[in-house]
Amino acid sequence: MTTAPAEKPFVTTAAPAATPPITRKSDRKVILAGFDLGTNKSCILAGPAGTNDMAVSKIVPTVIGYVKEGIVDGIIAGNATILYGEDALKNFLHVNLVAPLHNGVIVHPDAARDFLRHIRSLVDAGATADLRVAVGVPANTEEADRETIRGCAAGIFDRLLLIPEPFLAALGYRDDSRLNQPNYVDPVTNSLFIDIGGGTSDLCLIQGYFPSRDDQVCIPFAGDAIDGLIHEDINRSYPGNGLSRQTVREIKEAHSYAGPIRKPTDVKVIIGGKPRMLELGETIGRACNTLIDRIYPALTTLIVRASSDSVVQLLQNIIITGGGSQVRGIDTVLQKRLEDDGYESPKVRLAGQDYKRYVALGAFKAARAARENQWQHVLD
Amino acid sequence: MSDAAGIDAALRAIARALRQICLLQETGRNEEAAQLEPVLLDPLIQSFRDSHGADSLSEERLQSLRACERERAGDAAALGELLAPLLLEQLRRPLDSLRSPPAAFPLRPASIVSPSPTTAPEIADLLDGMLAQENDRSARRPRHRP
Repeated sequence: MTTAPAEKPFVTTAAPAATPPITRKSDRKVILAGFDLGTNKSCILAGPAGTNDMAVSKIVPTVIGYVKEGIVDGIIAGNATILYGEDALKNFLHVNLVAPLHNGVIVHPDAARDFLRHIRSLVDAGATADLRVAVGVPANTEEADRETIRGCAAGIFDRLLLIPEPFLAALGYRDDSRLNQPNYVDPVTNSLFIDIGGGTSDLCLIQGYFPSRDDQVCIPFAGDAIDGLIHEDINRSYPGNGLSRQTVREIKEAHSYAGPIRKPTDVKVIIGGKPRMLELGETIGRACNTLIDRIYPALTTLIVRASSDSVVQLLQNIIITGGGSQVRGIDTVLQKRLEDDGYESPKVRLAGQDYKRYVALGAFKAARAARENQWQHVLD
Repeated sequence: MSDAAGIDAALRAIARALRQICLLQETGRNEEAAQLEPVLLDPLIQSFRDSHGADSLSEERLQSLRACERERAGDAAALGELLAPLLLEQLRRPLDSLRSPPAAFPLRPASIVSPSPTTAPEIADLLDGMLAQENDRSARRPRHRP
C-alpha cells in the first residue's frame, strides 16, 4: 500500500460541511489550537480560550482516502465517501489514498481542504466556534506555499498564524515551570533545534529573538527520502520482492541506525505469502547515514552564525526532534562529528519520547500567548 | 462544603474573574478583556444563579463587585509602576552573584525584536518579531500590476 502523491481523487469530494447556525461574532466561543501539519503525520492540540484546558490532543496521519466507485454498501462504515487518517489507511483496499503534502508543502489543495475540514471537526464538532489556529510550517517556507496554506484554510479556520516548525519545537520543548530556575537553560534563549520529519529536515538557531531566514535551514530530505533509498536498494538486491513503501517504512522504523554499518541485520518480511529473511544492515545504515551527511553542513553553517560569546553554551544545546530523532545513534554520530571537527564540548541530545507533539505543543503555547492583533484573518 | 462556604467560594471566583478583566482594561488590553467576559465571567455568573436562584446575585451587587475590582486593579497598576523597578533591582543583586555573566547575543537587524538576555523571552514579543520580518519581506517584494 502506498500513498499516491501524483494521483487525483477519482471520487468527488464529500458534501460541504453543514452551514453553522448564524451567531454574532461576539457570541461565539473562542477555541485556540496548535497544529503541526506534517507531511506524513499531523498533530492537533486545542482548548477553549481563557482556560488551561487541552480538550483535544490527537495525532492524525496526513492522508485522505476517497472511496472507490462500486464499493458495496456496508463495507465502509456509515457508507462514507471520504475517510481520513487511520481510517483511510485501514481501508486502503477500498479507497484512493491521497497525501495532500509532499516535502512539507501542500501539493493537493482540494485534499488539503478536506483534511483541514476533518481537523476542524475534531476540534469543534458543531462548527460554531471562532477557531484560531497556530500552524507549524517548514523553515523558510516560500510565500507562495504559505498562501496555499491560507487559501486551503479559508472558510475552515477563522484566524491563522504560520510559524516555523523548529522554532515551535523549541517552544514546545521548553519547560515553563523551570524558567525561573537559575541553572535552567531556556531552549528559546540559546539552542539549535533539528526537526527531522517525513518530508523535510528543518534546522533553526534560536537565541532569544525570533529567528530570521538566515537562522533557519530547510532540507527537503528526511524520513520519506530514507524510505526511498532503502526501497531502491532492496529492489536492486532482491528483485521482484513486491514490498510496499509502507512496509519499507515499517522496516526503517524498527531497524534504523546511524554510524558504522551493522551487519548482519536480518529482517523478516512476507513475500508471496511466505516468510523470508532479508539482510538489510548495509542498506539501512547507508540510507540513514545519507541523512547525517545532508544535515551536518547545515548544522555547522548555523553554529558559525552564533556570536563567540554565546556559541559555547549553544554547542551544549543541540536538540534533535521529530521522527528522525528515533534513528538509533543519530545524536551520538552528530556529536562525534562535531568533536572530530574540533568544536568545543558539543552536546547533542534527543528531545525524548514526546517528539511527536513538540511542534504542536509549541504552536498551542503560541496560540494561547498571541495577542488579538497578531492573529491573521483568513480571506476567502 | 457547606452552603455558605460554597456561596463564598463561588463569589470569590466571580470576583477573581472581574479582577482579571479589570486589570486587562487598566493596562489598555481592552480587546482581551472583552474576549474574557463571555468565556470566563458569564459562565461563572450563570452557574451561581442556577445554583442559588436567579435573584441571588442582583445586577446592583454585580456592579458593586465590578467597581470594587476596578478600583483594586487601578491601585495595583499604580503600585506596580512604583515597585517594579525597585523589585527588579533587589532581585538582580543576589542572582548576579550566583550566575556567570549572561551570554551576549549576536547583533540582528533593528526590525527583529531582541528581548533582554537576562529574562525569558515572552512568546507574544517573539511573535511580534516574526510579524515584523514578514512585513519587511512583504514590503520588499516587487508588486505586479494586474
